[in-house]
Amino acid sequence: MQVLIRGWSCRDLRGGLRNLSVDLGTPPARWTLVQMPNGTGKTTTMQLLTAVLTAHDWTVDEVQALRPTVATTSGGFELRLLVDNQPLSLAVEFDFVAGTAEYSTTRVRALGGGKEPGILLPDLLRAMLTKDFARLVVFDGELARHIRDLKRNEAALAIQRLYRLELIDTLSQTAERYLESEKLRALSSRAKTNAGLKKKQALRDEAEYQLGQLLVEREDLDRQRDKHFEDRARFEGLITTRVGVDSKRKALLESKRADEQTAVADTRAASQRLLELLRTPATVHERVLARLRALGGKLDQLKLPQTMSQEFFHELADQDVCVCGRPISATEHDAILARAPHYLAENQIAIINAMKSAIRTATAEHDELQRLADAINVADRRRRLAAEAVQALVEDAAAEGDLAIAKAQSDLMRVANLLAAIESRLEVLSGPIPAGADAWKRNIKAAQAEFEARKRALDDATETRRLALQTAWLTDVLHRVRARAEARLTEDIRARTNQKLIRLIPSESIEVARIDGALVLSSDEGGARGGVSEGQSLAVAYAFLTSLFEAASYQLPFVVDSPAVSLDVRVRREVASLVPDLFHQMIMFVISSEREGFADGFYAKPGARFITVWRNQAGEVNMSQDLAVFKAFHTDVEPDAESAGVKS
Amino acid sequence: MTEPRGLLNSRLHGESLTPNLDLTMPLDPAVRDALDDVLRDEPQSDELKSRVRQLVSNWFDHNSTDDDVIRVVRQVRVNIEQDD
Repeated sequence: MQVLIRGWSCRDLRGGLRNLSVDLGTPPARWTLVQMPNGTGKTTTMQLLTAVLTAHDWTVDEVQALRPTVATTSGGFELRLLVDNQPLSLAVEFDFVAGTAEYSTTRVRALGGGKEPGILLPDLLRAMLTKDFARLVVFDGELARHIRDLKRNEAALAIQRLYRLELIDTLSQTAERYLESEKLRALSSRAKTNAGLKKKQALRDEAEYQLGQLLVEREDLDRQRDKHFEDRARFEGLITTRVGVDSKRKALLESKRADEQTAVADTRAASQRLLELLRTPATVHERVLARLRALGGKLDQLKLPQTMSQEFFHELADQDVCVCGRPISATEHDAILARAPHYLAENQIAIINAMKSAIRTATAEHDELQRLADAINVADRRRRLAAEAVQALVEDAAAEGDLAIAKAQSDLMRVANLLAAIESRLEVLSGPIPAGADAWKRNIKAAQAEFEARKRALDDATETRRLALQTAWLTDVLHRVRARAEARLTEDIRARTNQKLIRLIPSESIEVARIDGALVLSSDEGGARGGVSEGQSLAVAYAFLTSLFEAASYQLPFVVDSPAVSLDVRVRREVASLVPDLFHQMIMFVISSEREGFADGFYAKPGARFITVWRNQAGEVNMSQDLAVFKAFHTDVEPDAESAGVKS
Repeated sequence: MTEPRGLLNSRLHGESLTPNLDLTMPLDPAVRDALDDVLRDEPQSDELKSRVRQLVSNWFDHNSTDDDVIRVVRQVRVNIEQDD
């Protein structure tokens, strides 16, 4: 699908947008540079473009903010598009007295057509053009900072939207909706005869709700933890900087902090191994092993489990003659089947056989256990000593009168306490299933198991078990397809982004290490986030955006505000040479200082359009589409109206 | 249930499709490859796998109905005795 902007018009709006109509030609120019000094309505134009594309819900205050004078009662904005070569106009009319905004769409249609109320974009576009996504298309430069902010997930969401991966979810949801409707149908048709069904449904809903609550809680705790991690890094950074005034003390501080981290890592590794060992009780002590071996011997002695199989009795019941030679009539058949459940089923036999085998091959490893326990103690002591040394160094610096250190140290302790509380709660939430009947109310794994068990009980009761399994197969396949497709697209876009970054920032090895919700730069992972300048950040954003759009099935226009203002001239030239070929339509709002190194790269491009908008001494907004005016324009010098071919 | 989904959505939003506006798009190669990879080792018939591929492709084109989804689901072979 291809979307092009043909132009836009403003009527009676604030910020110099009293009467301005911008036409990008037929067909619309591939590159349009709009030179608008501050105060001529550039920000408002960007805001209006986004608003009509996303059918923004205007508040009274927002509408009033667009009112140019008290005497003005109404105003409007119209965006003219070509959607797959069909003209389509989106308009918003403001009533400044009532503080309201009304949208309308004008389009060519086989039946009817003309002007209709509302924003009537094609389904595919409307689903995609959410407020977040529109920020990538109408790009205000602010996103350049966010695009690599770890807390945001616009990068991942953009990939999902642009490549329509959400459609796979809606397909799964359709299958699941059908399953639910079948269950409801079964419930309503059988409710009178089986009141227990309703109870089973309530039980399943309760477990589902509880699981949802726990997942939300985990998400919330993860978010809080991320924030506290950031705070901790900030406070530690501040302390290091202040302590670093004394170089000897700084070196000691860094060394002790490194010791502390190594000790924590050692404790974690030893604890992990210890837990693995404890999962096999025979390794704990020789006495435990001896008792388990005695149990294995008794199982062998009783010929368990071979002689006690339920299946044996099921098969026996179907025979004409018993193993003792007596005939098996209907009475014996029923009696054997009735008693069969007293014996072990196949799955239980498998467990006992696995136990026997494990006991036979088990060896006591209590030496290893003791060694690990000692290692944990030693590592913990090292950690404590290092932490105390760090504390002493910081206190020394604070005692010398540095109040900022004392404050940062107190903040650090507060954050450490908060983090410890969060970690402790997360451990219960996300760790292994704890003991106790109500574990499913506190632990996610237990809640998932409880939900699955109750779901299955309901499926069995409503006789929709087969459909549930069929639906589960399809949704599982679709889930894996989505994950795989997303991983492939993400990796492809990451690789393309990095190829472009080599061109854009050849002097420094900045690359996108991963796209994990947001863009994570290799320098972020190294802990040196402050090392990326605003210009480099913008270059990363361009490299990512162009990579994102170049392989997508949608061809969308790219509108950008001040594309080069924070870039040095060399990077500007690289951006100017890289970006144009990657978008099939670009509209760039620039100021005069962006001409050098950026706008001048477009002067020789055939079909590029250059528009200059300025306010004259009477306060009226004028517009020229003359390249000579564009090149010569300076904010403080008004162009000669006649030679500039001015439209006002 | 039997109405094409795109058309149904359009009606829900007070809009009808115009015959001269082709808004369909091919299945992205990343999705197609992922489908092939995932289905390859699934213990289902080739016919069902082919139907799943077709269903996903049509779904992306807004050219399949809820009934198409149900038909495919009902054809999945499962072991009713299997444990969760």
